[in-house]
Formats: sequence, C-alpha cells, structure tokens
Amino acid sequence: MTNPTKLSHHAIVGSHYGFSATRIDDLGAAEYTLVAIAADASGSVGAFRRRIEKAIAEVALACKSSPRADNLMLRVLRFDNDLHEIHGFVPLPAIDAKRYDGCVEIGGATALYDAAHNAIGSVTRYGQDLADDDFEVNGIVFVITDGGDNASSARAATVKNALEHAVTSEALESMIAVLVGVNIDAATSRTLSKVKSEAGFHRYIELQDATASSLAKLADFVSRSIGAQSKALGTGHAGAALTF
Amino acid sequence: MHADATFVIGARHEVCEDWAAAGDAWALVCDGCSSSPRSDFGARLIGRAAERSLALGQLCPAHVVEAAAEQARNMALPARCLDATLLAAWHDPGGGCIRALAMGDGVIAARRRDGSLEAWSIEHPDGAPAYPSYLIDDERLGHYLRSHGRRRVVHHFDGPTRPRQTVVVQDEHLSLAPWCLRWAFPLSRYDMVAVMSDGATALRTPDGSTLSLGDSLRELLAFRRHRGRFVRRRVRGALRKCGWQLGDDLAMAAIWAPNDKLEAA
Repeated sequence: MTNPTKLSHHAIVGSHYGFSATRIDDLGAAEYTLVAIAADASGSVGAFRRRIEKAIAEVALACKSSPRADNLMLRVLRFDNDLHEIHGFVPLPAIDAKRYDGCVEIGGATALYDAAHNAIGSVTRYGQDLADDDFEVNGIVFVITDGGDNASSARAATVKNALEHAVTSEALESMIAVLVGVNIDAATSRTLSKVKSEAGFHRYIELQDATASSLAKLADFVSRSIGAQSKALGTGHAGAALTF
Repeated sequence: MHADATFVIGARHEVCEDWAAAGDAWALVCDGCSSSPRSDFGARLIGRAAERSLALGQLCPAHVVEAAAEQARNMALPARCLDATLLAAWHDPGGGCIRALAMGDGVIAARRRDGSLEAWSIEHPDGAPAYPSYLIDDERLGHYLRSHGRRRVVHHFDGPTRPRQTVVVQDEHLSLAPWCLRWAFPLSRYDMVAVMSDGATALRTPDGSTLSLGDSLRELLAFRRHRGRFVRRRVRGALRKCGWQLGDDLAMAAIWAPNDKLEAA
C-alpha cells in the first residue's frame, strides 16, 4: 500500500504509542484534511471483523474517488489491549483498499481511551508540523467500537484534553471527533453516550447491529463526513454535521 | 532543483489577470493588462507559450509572443489580449546559474546563500509597462516608444546591515535595445530566485496601509522548506497569518537550487 521508507515516525506527548506519517517533503498539495480511523479489534468484534474491514475499505475507496482526494490523508489503527497502526497518514491516492483485507486482527480487551487519545493526538501533532510549514490543515477522527473502555491507561479526561488541545493549539483550522458504536445493546448505548460526553466527542452515532447493510451505511456516513470536513477547509469552520 | 508557482486574485478583481507556472527547473509569472480586452486569456497564452519554450531550456521572447498570438487567433481573441508582462527564471546548467528575464513591470528577487535578500523592482511610472506583445505590432510599438517608455528599476538589498534601496536603471524613454531585462544568478552565490507580478508591491496591512516591498518580500520569501507546493503554501500562509489584503492580483513563482546542485554545477 505504501512505501514505509517514505513515512516518518513521531511521538505523542503523554502516550506510549506514536504514529507514522508521510514525510512533509513528499507532499504535493498545500492543504490537507487529516483523517484518523481507530477500529476496535477486541474479542467481541470477532464475529463481524470482516465487515469492519470492508467498511474501512469502502471509506478509502469513496475518498479516493472524491474530488478532494489529493487533499486527504488517512491513518488507520486497530486497538485491543494495545494499539496497532495499520498504516500512518498517507495521501488517499497512494492507498490500495485491498490492504485492509485481514487488517483487523482480533485481540483481547478494549483500550478505547488510549486509541482515541492516540488518534486525536496524531492528527494534532502532524497537523502542527504541517501548519508550521504553511499547510492549511483540519482533522476528523472516527473511533469505532462495540463497547466501553476496559483496558486503557488514559482516561476520558485525557481524551477531552487532547481534543481541547487540538483546537487551542491552533494547529488545526477545525477538528471533529466522532464516536461510533457498532452492534450496540441498550446498556452499551448508555455507556458510550456517557463516554461521548466525558471524553468530549462531538458526535456519537450507533448501529444496533453489525450487518453488511448497516456497516455499508456507516461507511457512507464516514465518507460523506470526511468530504464535508475537507470542503470546509479554508473557511475557518468545521464541516457541517451530516445525518446518519 | 525545485520550482513552484501560485497566483491569487486581488480583492476587487472580477477575474484574476495574473498567472504563474513552474516546471522542474523554471518558473514564470504573467500579469495581464487590466485595460486590454480578455487579458486574463492573454496572460495565460503568453505564459503557456513561455512554458513550452522553457521546458526546452530556452526563452526567446519574440517566439513566445508569436506562438501566443497564433493561439489567440485560433481562439478568435483580440490581439491586444496579449498585453501581459512576462517574468521568468530558469536553471542554466551550462552557465552554472539561474537566469531571469523581465518584460514589463514586476519584481525579481534572489536569495544569497548567506541568507540576504536582493530584489529588483521594475516600475513604469507612467503606468504603461513594456509588454512583449508590442514586439509583434510595429504600429503599437511605435506609438509606445513615442508616447511612453519611462522605466525605473530599484534594487533592494536586505542583508546583515541596514536594508537599502538604490535606483539602478532610470530610462526616460525606452528604445528597443533594453526592452527585456536579464539577470544571471551564479549558483555559487544564490540558492533561490523568485519572480513576482506587481501585486507584490500592492500588499496592504489589515488597517489598509501599503507595505514596503522589503517587508512584503521578507514574509513572502520566508520559506521553511522548498519542496512540494512551497510557493503556494508560503503565499497563502503569509496572507492568512499576516491578514494582508491584496491591492492587486498577485502571482509568484520561485526556483530553488539546493547545495547538491551547486556541487553538480
């Protein structure tokens, strides 16, 4: 999918996990929307992990065919007890969606806050590097999970602080963080709604099941949201909130 | 060697009459005359013709204008649409330098390897720049030479000592011979050359005051990196961060020679 020699590695303050990203000298556009998708790979996702992989691939394909494709960079990670970067920030045209086949390797517990913190932190940190070189940058993060946190070293407040820092650092013109619940029952819905409030996510959307059609609808929503955020770049505002 | 170019429409313009382009080792800007018809097209035709010439490693102004005129005729555009400036810079590997050429008004800027900046602001005080299009129309050329032709070139230097300005050319009446101004910047002494439309001299602060060219250039040429869309990023970044207003369209293109090019030369 990508040539690893073209990626540089970065640390995130307050996190054991860093991220990788395309070297700035190799970028061809002057403005970017940074997209990070963190997908739950805990044991309970096993039954529908292929559909999650397919949804990520559909997002990548849809974004590749977007008129804004040259101005989008995507990073994907999966999380269980730990975080695993599937790939760092890469311009959409360089992504082969087939790469996502088998990318969600199922592990143990759910380090939801660690994943959210890393995804948000990576957008802010790389965004700062880009902004320092006069790139115009905004960001959008999706954290996809089927349950609440049970393995993070970070807390909800850590995620909230990371989101506040994304805005106050002025590295990013705007930032949107969306929590996505998949295969959610009533009790988990309440848990994730609380996570949304405590961690400061801008939106929480949920799918009560994890069927192919539900995840296709999710992929469509994610793609449209990325497109809206990218179109908003340069306006000083975030992209419009879309209907799920 | 790396080059990039960008152009931005002025605050009160309906259409951008400036144009800019860059290739692997060349960069150019054109500025269409506001009072000539369809000069937005003309600036692009002149630029496109120059682009094709520069891609072959040369730039003959007369050939450029003739090629652009042919395209204008094919598009049923008036010949006067070609009233546009042409400022270009390109790498001359044989000469170990970056060459630059200016026809009409605008700014040629160069950065020395010690970091100091030099610029030549080409001005036509009577508001009638010496467009290359006059070279293929004897009647218009004759009229221009009889009625206009005042030109002044001001050299700006911004180095470790106090910035200074010197008038280096003061033509009261142009003749054909110095129509086209040329420079050669040895790679041993210079690492970046930029060409700009006269929009670089019409930038305003948020409170409406006109910036000095020195202040504009210090910001516009403050590149941190010279890769990718470095000119576009810097121009947009300067406008965004400084809150400057564009009193005119602005076109800017630059060519950068890293140290390895110096060694190769």
